[in-house]
Amino acid sequence: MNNKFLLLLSAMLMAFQFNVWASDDKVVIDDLFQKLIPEKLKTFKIKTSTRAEVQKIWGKPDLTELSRDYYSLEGVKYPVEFTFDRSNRLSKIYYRFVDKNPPQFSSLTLLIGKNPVVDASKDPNSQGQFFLVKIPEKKLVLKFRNNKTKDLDTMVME
Amino acid sequence: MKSLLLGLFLVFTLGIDAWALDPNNDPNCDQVEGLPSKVVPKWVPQISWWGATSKDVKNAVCRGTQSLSDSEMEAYFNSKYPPAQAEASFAGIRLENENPAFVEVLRKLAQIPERKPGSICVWCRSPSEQKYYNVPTDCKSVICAAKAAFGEKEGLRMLYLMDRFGFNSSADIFKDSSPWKTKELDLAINSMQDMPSFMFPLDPNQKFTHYTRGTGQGRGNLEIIANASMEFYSGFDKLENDEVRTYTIVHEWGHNLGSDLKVDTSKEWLNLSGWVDKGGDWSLGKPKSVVSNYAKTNPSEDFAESVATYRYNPQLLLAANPEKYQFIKEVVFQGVEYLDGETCQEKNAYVNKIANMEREWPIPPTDLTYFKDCSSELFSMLSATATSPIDTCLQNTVVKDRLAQGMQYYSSLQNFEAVKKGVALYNWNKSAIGLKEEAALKTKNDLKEKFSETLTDSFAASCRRQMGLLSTLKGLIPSLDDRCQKISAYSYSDAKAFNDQFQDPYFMIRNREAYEAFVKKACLQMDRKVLNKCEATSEMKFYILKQLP
Repeated sequence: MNNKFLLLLSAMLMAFQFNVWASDDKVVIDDLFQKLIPEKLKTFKIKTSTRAEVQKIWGKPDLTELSRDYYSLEGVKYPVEFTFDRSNRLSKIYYRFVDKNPPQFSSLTLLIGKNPVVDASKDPNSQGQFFLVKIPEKKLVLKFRNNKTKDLDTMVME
Repeated sequence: MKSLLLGLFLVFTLGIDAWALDPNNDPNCDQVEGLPSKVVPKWVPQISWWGATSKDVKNAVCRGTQSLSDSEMEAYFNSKYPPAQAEASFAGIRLENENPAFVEVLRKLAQIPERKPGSICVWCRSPSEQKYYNVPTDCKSVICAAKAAFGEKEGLRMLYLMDRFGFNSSADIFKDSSPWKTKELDLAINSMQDMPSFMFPLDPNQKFTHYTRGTGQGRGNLEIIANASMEFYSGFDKLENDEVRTYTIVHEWGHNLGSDLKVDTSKEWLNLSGWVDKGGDWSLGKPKSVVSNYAKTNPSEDFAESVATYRYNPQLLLAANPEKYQFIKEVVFQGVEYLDGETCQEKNAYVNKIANMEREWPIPPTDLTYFKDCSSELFSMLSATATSPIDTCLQNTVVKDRLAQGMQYYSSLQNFEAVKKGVALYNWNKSAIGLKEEAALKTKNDLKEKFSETLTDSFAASCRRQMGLLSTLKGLIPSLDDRCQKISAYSYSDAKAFNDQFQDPYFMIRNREAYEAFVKKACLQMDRKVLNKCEATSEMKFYILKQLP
């Protein structure tokens, strides 16, 4: 009886541990994704959040142009841009990292994957100054500075 | 209209000539605050597509007149890398009795790096494309092998670019690239020698490639010449002369400086020309403050143009925006100027002045946070096979810190904080301000001790977690190997203290594999009593420390 109980317990413990381990990589990736998104953007959902909800968190925009609201960050004009559709639902977020320690490419490789889709030449303004990495499942485009281990410059969610 | 343009051109050129002849006596010049010894011409700068013409580049001060010869390059390598006992074999190359550091220079050119999480080279060819060179078996030195693999002239120049500037020009490593020609490699070397030596290497393995020849890259009607990833296209070959090509290389290098110094989109830089970001579309608030039409594209192009113009046509930058001139002078060139043959001497760089200061530098603290930049080097100690580059890293950290301390003497600089960043980034001459040998050894040993403390704590935590779980199953997993396997699996999550110490939230995620392998190795060495107690005792620490080289 005692042995049976122990065996059952051991089986349960093993199963429990296996589950935790098997989902570990996904947890890590989701965790990375969550850490990557700036705190003040975390609650927003594309096509769902409204202009009023955005303004509730970000306050009055520093500049508004039709369907776009712009915000200054740390004295820089305007690294944050929200675009809204006709019904004032959020359709795009543009966020440029102006803080001193933005995430680096090397710290995001798990999220990006082993063979990232890299587009070094499509950015019309920069002639490959940056390289773009697309993460379709997260509907996210990350723009990194030019070299291999460089900072994350911009993220676009749409 | 034509005569008006000609007239304007003459006024413009005469203005430069007069100023260049005797700036201090020129009535067209003003003294500018922050530029005590400099004067700013009053003439209104006329800008063109680039910040300097080929004539400006040709006549710029402090430029070498001749390319390095093969024998000069070989002499450079022979003095830098005295023969040693290293042996290596890769990509069909077999080296014997070589200096290990020199071997690594060639390896970067010949061996495609493995793809692993944490170190993806996004521009590299796939390892399956690895080329095997037909190097003769009696060719066992780095120089000989490089010549055999890449060409008699080209191999030597590629080694030089790699070693001296950190530029990897190997078409066998990078995707979509063709080999460089000898003349082009010479041009690249000459162009980079126009820049102060302390700037190199920014990145010890910087891509520097010619895009696949015969395939152009364009955007609408514009043909792309080059980009900041140091890729040069056929448009580069078609440029009118070597001076324009030189300007282009320095412009692209300027992007790398801006990016690495984190200044080309900094608040300070944006404000100098009133740049505003609107979802990636940039608007220029002060159009007269830029040095070329191309600089109007975005702040990064403005920065790269300003760097190239500072080097080859400094008067234009000074006239367009004296504050910008000062910014580039302080932050990028660290005090070195190109107004005459005297100001361009590298002895004028702040760091070289600091290095000459007579002062007693204190011994650095030995905590992991202070040496956070050496986190990966410290971790490389966990794998006994790796030759640990820890000494160099410790030295660099201390030098950077001392330079930062020395920089206090320059706290009156207008862009002091940004200058400090540059000081920390550039790979300065370490010999004058480095750690003394005995202090370096003590620092290393003390640091190893601290490092092993965190290792011991995390090992004990992992041991408790797994052994606690297993205590109910006592007897079911009797083998030491199995126990150690359990303790090591996912032990990385118990070592998150390293994340804080190295100020990198993903550190343990990236180093998981190495850490778990180390834990298992150390675990297998442990006494069963130690293992059963799972306490971070000095006994446990002894076993951990024993595993470190």
